[in-house]
Amino acid sequence: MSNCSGSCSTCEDGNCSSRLPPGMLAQYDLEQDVSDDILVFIESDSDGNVHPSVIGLLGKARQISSGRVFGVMFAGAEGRQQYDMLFSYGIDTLYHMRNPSVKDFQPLTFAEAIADLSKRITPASILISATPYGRELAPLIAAKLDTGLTADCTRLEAEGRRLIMSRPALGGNIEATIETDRFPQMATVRPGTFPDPEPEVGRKGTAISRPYQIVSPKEIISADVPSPGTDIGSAKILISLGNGIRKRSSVENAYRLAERIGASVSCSRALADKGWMPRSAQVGQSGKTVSPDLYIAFGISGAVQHLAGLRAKRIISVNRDRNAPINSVAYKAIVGDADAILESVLRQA
Amino acid sequence: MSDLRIAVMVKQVPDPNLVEISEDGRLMRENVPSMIDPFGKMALQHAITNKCQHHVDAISMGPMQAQDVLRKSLEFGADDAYLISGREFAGADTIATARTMAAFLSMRDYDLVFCGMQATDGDTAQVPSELAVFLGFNIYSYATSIDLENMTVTQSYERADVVSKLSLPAVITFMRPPHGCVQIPSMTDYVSALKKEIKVVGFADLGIRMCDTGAKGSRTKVKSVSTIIPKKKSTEFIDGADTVSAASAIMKEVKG
Ligand SMILES: Cc1cc2nc3c(=O)[nH]c(=O)nc-3n(C[C@H](O)[C@H](O)[C@H](O)COP(=O)(O)OP(=O)(O)OC[C@H]3O[C@@H](n4cnc5c(N)ncnc54)[C@H](O)[C@@H]3O)c2cc1C
Repeated sequence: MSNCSGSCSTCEDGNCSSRLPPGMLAQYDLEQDVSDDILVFIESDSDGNVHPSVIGLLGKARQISSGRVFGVMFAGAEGRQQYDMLFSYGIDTLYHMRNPSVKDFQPLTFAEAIADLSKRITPASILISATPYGRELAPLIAAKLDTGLTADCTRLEAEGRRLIMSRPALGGNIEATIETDRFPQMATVRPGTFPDPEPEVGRKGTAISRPYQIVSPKEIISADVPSPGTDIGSAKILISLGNGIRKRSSVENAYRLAERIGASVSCSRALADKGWMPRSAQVGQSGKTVSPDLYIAFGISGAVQHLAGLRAKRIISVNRDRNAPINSVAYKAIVGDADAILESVLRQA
Repeated sequence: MSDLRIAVMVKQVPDPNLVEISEDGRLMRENVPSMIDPFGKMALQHAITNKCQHHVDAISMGPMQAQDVLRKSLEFGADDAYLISGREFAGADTIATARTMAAFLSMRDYDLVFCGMQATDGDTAQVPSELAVFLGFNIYSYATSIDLENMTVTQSYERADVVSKLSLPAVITFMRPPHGCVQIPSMTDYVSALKKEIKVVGFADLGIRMCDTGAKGSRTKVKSVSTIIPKKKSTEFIDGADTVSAASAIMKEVKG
């Protein structure tokens, strides 16, 4: 079957698929019945803990699906403990992918397994959180299925099974609305974009265990897992430090404050570059995306690259400069000295 | 390992600080000064710092003006430069871009393809993974460092820095420059770069079909573009407060 419109000059024979580029599978047949269902990738760690961003994504899938909501999760036996929780947030059928020899995130293997599953269950759309894993995985699946993928959507709407995706472009100055003319339609969504839905306790679903093959395994030598309290991605309160911090002792103060108020400590790239904070704590385009309820920025100017990773409900900024860009997105802007105010907060905590 | 063939994908992007949006929400790219995408530049720096016995090509896909970034890449120390350019490629989304690049790369037998983790104009981070599938290569995204002697790669994922064995052939995307890198082109690099020719590769050279590239090969369609009118956040300013009351204002929020 050819997908070329008549204007194609090199394959009038209508026999494109015999000359598919290497690595490309035969694609979804547009003529076939596509379901109204939506498939959501359930990112989890090796212990089967579900990534917090998945919940908001499930809420959205439930809201826009005119059919069922499927989930696909790669986890060991521990994954079973998540079934009820996942059903309560709207999954009808959960594909629990099992392979005892896989312990880590295996991009090519997972992509192959999801592409296979997708051909079998023919969802109208596939939604994936735009976490680092998700952003690596989603385009692998899209290329295997030869379908369109839209990154970092901030709005998702549906007209029947058709997905209408919107994303900001060019530093957030414009919003582009994008559609895909193939199935499955694919989108990634930045963590924290959609609110967590209320769980429907006791809601029932079906779980199906499925084995999968390993392809091109990635051989992992070591993985440094950060100690508790340093996981900035899931923190509810973040104390974030920037170049406006002049005293090294402020870093220590921030960690002590974090311990007292149950927060984590993050930073701008400028401070990570200085070596005062670990890279893993950097927020922004080349760092992490965070979505805390409260983000307290000490001496951060608010460059676009920093704000690209920030999805906070409320931002309080402490900056010497009343006109710092961060103040235009802040809910409260305190004009003053970052080191002194941080020290004083610690005393009051 | 020695004698590896490395391709570095570099993109020309508009300088984000100078882009203007027209009243009807169009991007005024025409007269905007452009630059080498910062993440692509990091990929190039990793290739050059590891160069020794390896061969490094800089490759870009874009309009003829994109020769500028390839000229820069040669000055930084790339051995050869190729520009994939032609009107047939216009309007390509990430899939069509990756498929076009793959057609070129697969003719040239590379062991490694280095990319920036994303380009600052599109921000999608999709082309490298798609490229890996079309080439049948392994993928290592968000790399912070590589060691081509011991063949290892370190990737920065959300919860962990993962060190893996680097299995060839592979696509690697970089999110930061090499450690301690302050690469400035030397005078000799600069002079020898001037003598090098940037080879332009067109549609006919690639052996791909019209329906696999450009707007026709794209699987996504932009339906509309609108200017985002920034929501006026009413910021409450606390100016001129003493340190202790400023701190109390923060504690009040923490206690919610
Ligand atoms: C490709 C690319 C990717 C990038 N990715 C990221 C990223 O992921 N994350 C990121 O953060 N940045 C990133 N950047 C860098 C970004 O452009 C900024 O340079 C950086 O965010 C600045 O950090 P900062 O606000 O801490 O420092 P500065 O810009 O130096 O700002 C310091 C702020 O502190 C204030 N200040 C100074 N002294 C005091 C004081 N005593 N008390 C109170 N306030 C004070 C100043 O008024 C100023 O607003 C990236 C850049 C590029 C080109």
